[in-house]
Amino acid sequence: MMTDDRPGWSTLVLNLIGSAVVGYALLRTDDGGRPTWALVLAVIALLAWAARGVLGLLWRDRRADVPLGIVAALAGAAAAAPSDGLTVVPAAIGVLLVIGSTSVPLPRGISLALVACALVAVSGVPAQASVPAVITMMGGLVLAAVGGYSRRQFRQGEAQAVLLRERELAMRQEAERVAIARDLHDVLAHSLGGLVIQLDAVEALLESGDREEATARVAAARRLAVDGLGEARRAVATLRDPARSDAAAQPGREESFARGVERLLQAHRSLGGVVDFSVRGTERPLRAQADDALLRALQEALSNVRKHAPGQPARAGLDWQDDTVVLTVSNPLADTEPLSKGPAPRGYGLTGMRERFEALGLGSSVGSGVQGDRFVVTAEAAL
Amino acid sequence: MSLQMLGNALLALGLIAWIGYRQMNWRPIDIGRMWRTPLVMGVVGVAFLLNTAGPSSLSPLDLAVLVVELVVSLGIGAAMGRIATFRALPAPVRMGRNGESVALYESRTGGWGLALWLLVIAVRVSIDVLAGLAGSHLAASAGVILLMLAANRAARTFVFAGRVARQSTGAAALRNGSPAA
Repeated sequence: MMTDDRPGWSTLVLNLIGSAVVGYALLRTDDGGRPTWALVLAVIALLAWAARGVLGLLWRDRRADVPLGIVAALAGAAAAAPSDGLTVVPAAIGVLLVIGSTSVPLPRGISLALVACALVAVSGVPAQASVPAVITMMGGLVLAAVGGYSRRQFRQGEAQAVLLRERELAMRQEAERVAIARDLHDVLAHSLGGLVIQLDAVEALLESGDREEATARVAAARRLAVDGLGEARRAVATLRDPARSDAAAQPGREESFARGVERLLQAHRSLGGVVDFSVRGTERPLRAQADDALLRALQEALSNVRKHAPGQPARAGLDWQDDTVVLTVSNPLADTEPLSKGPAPRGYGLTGMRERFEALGLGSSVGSGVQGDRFVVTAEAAL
Repeated sequence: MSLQMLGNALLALGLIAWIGYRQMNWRPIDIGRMWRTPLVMGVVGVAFLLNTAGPSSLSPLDLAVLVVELVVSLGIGAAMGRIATFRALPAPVRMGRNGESVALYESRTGGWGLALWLLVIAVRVSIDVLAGLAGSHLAASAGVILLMLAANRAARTFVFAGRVARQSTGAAALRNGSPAA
């Protein structure tokens, strides 16, 4: 919430020079006719003005502004007419400081300005100052009050801008949190879901006494677990240092997409799934983000097939067009599965998919639903 | 001279009795009307003042008395605006001759408000006496008295209007935040 307007050397120098000049003028114009009380007040006002610069530099904040501003305003205003208006300068500085300080409620700042005006008027009585001169001195204070008000508005604007930036940051962090949840879901749901299927099969095989096949399944489960662990590590590395892992993943992206698709299909088959894969058109280079989103979509869709239509033949297809690539994964509706009404509530996977493709920008989308006797997931990424 | 002073005193007493009576009673709030009184009093006060004393005939003492009284009046008026209590009316009340505005709250300044009025009078009388002893008779003029009252009412309305506005927005936020009853 701190705006960076801490007083520095320039504040010190300006305040010291200002108070010194007014003090010198006070000495030069003194013909001995000034009452002692007025001189004392004038010195207090000038000292408060100078001290404000010194303390501002020492403390590096504006803590001293309000108390010293009040002292300068009251002492300076009370000595205004006897000093021929010279101490109106520290009084005006004081009014400006207090009204300009956002820590003081505005009505109090205005009250200080009004009291200072009254003191100026009272100081005109013993000094026998002319009425226009006294009014001019009060005018100086009014000008300072207006200046202080504008300064206050500026600081409030700054503080609001800082608040806005903080909110923006919080929103960005929230978005990152959602992205992390998505990545975690994708990695864990895929590998743990696969493991559960493999272990179920192992259990059944052991019960029927088929030790050989069970051993093979355990080996497959182990591979899946190792893959999942590796993927979890990569996800964590990306979260820790997105720039480096992106750069490391960049070269050889085009091959890695086809390889990634192949790896996911193999994993599906090794888990007992049947998938018929087809490609139309020629493969084109993909943005890293689109590459990732498509692979995640394929992974999630195949996971869902295993979960909701186990053993059913699935179809997966990539259609490379001029400006988009469309991934379609479909499976026959299982008899055991209660028929989904419209887009089925399939956990966080589809939500995550949708968010990924929305982040790709215009022309990218995800759709899912029942078409005829099949459940179809379609993901389209703009090239 | 004594007749003028008697008139002034009667004028002041009448105004003070009227305002004091209003302070002790709950009255519907209409900020527009609350501003009207100080405005009228201020204009009449300035007209009186210009009639009795042109700007050129002012002495530094007159000016000092005028400014000090103004600041004191503003301060006491602000204090009155601060201590005034207000509450929501059971039903909105139409105000004005043609019912053109609607009051949602009513207010009362109460006993402390009356005490502040007595303070206003005490301050005024003592400044009058002191200024008169020092040679300034401007302070005792009807124009200055009206101007002081105007400043008092204006400061009170300014502070009070701010409080009512904050209360209204707070109440509105509360209403919007809670499910509709």
